[in-house]
Amino acid sequence: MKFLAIAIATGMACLAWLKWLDPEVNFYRAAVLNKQEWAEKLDRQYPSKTVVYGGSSAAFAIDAGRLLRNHRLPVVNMGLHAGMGPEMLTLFALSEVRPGDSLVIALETDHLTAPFLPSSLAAKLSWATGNSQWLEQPWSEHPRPWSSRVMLLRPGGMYVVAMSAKFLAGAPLYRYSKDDLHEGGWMTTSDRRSFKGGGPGSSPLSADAKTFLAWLRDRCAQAGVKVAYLPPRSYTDPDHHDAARHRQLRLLEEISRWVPVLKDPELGLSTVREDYADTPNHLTESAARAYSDQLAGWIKNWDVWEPEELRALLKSPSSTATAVTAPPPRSL
Amino acid sequence: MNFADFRFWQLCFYGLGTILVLKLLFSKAGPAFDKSLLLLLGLFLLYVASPESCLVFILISIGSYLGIRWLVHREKQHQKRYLFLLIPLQLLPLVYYKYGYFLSHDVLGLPLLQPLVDFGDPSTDGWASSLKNLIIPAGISFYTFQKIAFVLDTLAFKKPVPTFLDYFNFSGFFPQVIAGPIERRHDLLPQIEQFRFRWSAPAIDEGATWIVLGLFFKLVLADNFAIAFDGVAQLANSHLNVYHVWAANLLFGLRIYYDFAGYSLIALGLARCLGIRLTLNFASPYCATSCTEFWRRWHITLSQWFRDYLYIPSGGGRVRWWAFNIFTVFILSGIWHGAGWNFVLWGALHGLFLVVNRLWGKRLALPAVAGWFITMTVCFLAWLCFYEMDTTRLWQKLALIFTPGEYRWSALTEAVTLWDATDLAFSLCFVGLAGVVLCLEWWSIRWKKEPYALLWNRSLLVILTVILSPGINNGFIYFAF
Repeated sequence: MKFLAIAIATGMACLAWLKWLDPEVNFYRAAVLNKQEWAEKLDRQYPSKTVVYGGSSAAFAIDAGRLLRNHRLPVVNMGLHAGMGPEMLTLFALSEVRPGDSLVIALETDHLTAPFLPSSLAAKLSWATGNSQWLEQPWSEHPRPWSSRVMLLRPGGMYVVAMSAKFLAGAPLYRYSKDDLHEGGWMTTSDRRSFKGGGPGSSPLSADAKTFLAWLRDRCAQAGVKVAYLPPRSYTDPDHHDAARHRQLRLLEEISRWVPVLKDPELGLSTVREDYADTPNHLTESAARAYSDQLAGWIKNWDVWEPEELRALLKSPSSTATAVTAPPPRSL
Repeated sequence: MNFADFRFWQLCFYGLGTILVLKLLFSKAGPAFDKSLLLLLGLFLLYVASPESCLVFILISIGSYLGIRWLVHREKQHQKRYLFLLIPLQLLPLVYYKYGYFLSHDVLGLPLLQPLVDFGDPSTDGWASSLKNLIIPAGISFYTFQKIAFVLDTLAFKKPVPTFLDYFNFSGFFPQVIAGPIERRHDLLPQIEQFRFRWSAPAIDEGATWIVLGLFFKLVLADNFAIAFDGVAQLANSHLNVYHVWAANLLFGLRIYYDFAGYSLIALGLARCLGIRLTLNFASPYCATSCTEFWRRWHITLSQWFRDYLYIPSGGGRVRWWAFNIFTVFILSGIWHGAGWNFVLWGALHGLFLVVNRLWGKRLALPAVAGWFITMTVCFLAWLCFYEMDTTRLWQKLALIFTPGEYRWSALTEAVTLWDATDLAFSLCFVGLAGVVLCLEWWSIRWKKEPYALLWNRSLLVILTVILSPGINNGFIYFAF
């Protein structure tokens, strides 16, 4: 049957494109290597380190090089792309965690309030880097079959249209480049765009997220790894800040029943528009440096919210912790 | 049985491989052996898809078979009376699972009812949520109607009751049990009775063509329209711009057509590979130049079911109250699709269009292009009632559509500005692709006198399917019905 052979040949061509030519996959392959090299360097030089991971909000927020130079804190920024999904992001981070390390989960809150869906980008990056184990689901009783992972490697109509449009317009085929990657896994961008602020979703933790957090907590405990959650710092419209803060408190209180939550007094919400680059989740370089300086204190002290503290804040929103502290001066 | 899921084809392949081995081992076995294997394969695939649905299907099929056997042995003058008992009993599971909450809560305003059987996940809210969360067994709307038609045809044409094995295979023939086509006794049963597993290269070749076309419709067109629709539907909900509403109607209408037609074509192809011919359920409905023609091309087997078992017995178009007959049939058709007032409205709108078509269609004698444009406008307008489940938003959007002032130029520029550029380009590209496909469908009918004939280029369809189908699978939309 000729058409079956054509189907297979077309599929192989798509796989070859993904492996060698896809600009987004190429960028994240370079990002993966960048982070792995930094992690290996820290493993050689320090008895333990802190691994922070999540989507791009983590990738843009944490200057690990600065944390090492200025605070003598070995941190590796394993943040990648939120679209890869919590499963792959976690397994990628865990691949560099050793006994005695600390793990900071900086997953975007949307990941934890919705069912875990398969990610095409995760499948593509796993294929391109030869890491199929990143697609496994050790916490799930019904992991997805291998065939569904293969199906995720299809380019898709949206991809073809977007690539074609960029090619015809002479625009870069991917927004970021290897020049945006820095030591320690930190990402930056000179791109500035207009955007609207959002806030955390109002849903509670999804069933998938609860299973996942329980598994992660137990796995870290067995491996002698300290674990905590840190809500990524994202931009919220000032008009919606109070409502967003209340929703965030509810979510963090629920998360704290599974894993500790690091004590960011701003609860991962910011109303300073100038701190953000091209999306409401990507800090600018100066804002990332300031945030990294704050993060150093939270990690060193391992200061976490007590669940009772969060519940008390929920009941009285006008407590002192709600005051938006003046951001520390930007330093180079 | 999700034909878009690779796992279905894996299981089907393993199942047929097992059957091949068994056939080789028991080569002298009679037809009953083949039919038993066919039944086991179908039940296995249904069980893997949903164990609960499989159990419900088996129980309903046994009950229906015993019912029809009992009925044919009654005296002829009593058969009609008992028929009015058997048919409601056959409808009872469908009404319970699909309409229990709607009827009790929305229509009758009754106190909350405890479900008798519940595969759902009872919430802390109590009985009402349990009834609301009942999982509808897959395919129940389709095979219930198929069984009812079987009973009526058996009595009307004085046909013998088939063997249990043949009846089960007729009821649960796996390519069509979940989402049709709704087959008639005189079309499918003779083929089932003669069924043997045979290798026929021409049949497999023809079947493969339908399967490839069906997968192209589903994976390339329907699934990408699903993505496009989700984006613009959110815009329509947040900004209430009439152009967004029409765009959502267009994208949904294209999605549901290619989704359902895709499923039907795959079912046709699978059956053809097994040597069985199913009824073509769609014949390029978006090429219709009148509402009457549209309903002769859309979900053909359901339309024929309503025509033969409701419309014609109630007098059809030959009585004074023909308009009432049309309205009743289409409201029931709307209800068949879903338990909600929006579906009732959808059916009523189509009933109204058909009445108008009959009253003025011939008098106006519009050119085909004008007829096509009006037909598509009213059909895509009606899709709004199909997908918009929130009645408040539904009325808001209908009000928008029927307010001439909403079609101002500034609303159009605002609609374009608010739409993400990539999403807009994506939607336009796929609407363009659908336009090309629809043109080929139209020429297939005009030149080849056979629907979809000009789309039978398997190599091109396969390349487009591999490249353009989204990485994430969507289920078939008609599974919800």
